[in-house]
Amino acid sequence: MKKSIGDSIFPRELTFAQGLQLLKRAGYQGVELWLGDRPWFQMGTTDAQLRQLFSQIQNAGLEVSNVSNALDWDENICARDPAKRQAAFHHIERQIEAAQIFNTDAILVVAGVVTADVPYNEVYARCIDALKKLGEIAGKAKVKIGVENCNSEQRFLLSPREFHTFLDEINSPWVGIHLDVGNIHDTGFAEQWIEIQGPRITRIHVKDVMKHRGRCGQESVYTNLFLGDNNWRAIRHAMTKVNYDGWIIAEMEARYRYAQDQQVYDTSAAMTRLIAGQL
Amino acid sequence: MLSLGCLPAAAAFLPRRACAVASVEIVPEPHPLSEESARGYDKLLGAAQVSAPLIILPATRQLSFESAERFRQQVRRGWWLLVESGAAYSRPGELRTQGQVLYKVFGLNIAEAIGVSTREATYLTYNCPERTVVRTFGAVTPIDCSPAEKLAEYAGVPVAAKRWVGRGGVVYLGSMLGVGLLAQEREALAVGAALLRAETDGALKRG
Repeated sequence: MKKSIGDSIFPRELTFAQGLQLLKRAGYQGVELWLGDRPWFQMGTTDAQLRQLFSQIQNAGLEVSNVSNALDWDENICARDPAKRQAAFHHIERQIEAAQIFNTDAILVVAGVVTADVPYNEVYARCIDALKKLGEIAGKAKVKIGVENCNSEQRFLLSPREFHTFLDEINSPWVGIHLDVGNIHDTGFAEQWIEIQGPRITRIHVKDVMKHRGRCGQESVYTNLFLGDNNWRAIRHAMTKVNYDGWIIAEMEARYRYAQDQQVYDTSAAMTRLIAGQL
Repeated sequence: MLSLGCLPAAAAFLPRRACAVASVEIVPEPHPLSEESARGYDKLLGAAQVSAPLIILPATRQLSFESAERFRQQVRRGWWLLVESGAAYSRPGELRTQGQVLYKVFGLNIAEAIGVSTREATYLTYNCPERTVVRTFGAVTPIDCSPAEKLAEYAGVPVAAKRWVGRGGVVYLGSMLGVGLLAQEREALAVGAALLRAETDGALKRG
């Protein structure tokens, strides 16, 4: 297993290159790049600029674990507005292109956001339709689309069996699940999600969750590894059970208020313990 | 039979379907909302009973005078025409010409579309052929019609109506139903099936 963390964690005062150096010093092997988040990787970033970023990553002694995007919450493949749906399609295609440039074989998408106005059944049908088409594009590029389980925020695909059925309906070897063990909250157990999805897992996001806090205003339910309610021993055993040996990628939503680089080091140390099973 | 010669190339993407005993044409326009709605109607037709020839124009915004005239000739011979408004996400002014065409050719007097909330669920009520509440979104297009012609209303305003023309007729839906059909919404399927059945077997016909 290899460790990675998103470029979104880079403290604001650091450049891209300085952020990469921080990750290397903290012991990560890879970086997750977020399209649409930090200024160095936007929809307007050219292929040549992406190649420059990749050179910097290689020079820092790192790999790209995967390409994610921060755009799906505003432009989703399930949107009713065709313009937004098309925009979502375009940024996912751009992720696939970027993944090829960065020599990685996985991207992350958030497929489906159920709202009071856009009901579940509509979201489900549009996601299936779009992911079938995107799966064909991804297959030609040899890049896997990992559909993230953002259960509570999406109000969509809330159980592991439904997610499994959803992937059955898409029926593409190029569309799987980017499993976030922190996103399951009090609707289930991360280790059961790992067992049920098994070989369909493209990547694993790690963070911890305080299941009983609930979300109120700006209060986050998320916290650092080992501080929350996830059963990390069970999660580690489940990874072994399904022979998961790929990237684990930290996604820390709640940030240190001071000494933000320290969170990068602390998370790396916790991930090392997780991988080693020293829990 | 229906000629697609003057319609955009993408409009012929759904094949003619032999449904029960009658021919059915779905003629989508080349924009995503119409294509999505067309797939919803296609799904419905897999199970619906239709006993008179039928043309469906899903989420339509660009109905030309020439196409409408051709449809009118068919309607006069006994076809039914279902026109679904594509007002949701349309550009300002996009529907104006279509409104003029519908008025000139079929005497349908539709008003400016009303935007509906994108923050909460919005529903409209079908009163005929059966009372059903269905979701709507984006925008609804009111239509001026007699009480006997009214099929559905939103906030007390008629938004769907039928009109007899020759031996056939026109059903105008001022709100998109096809999206709900594709999503397999129970009430949308019920009203869709009832509409197709009723408009073609005489239940909605005059007298």
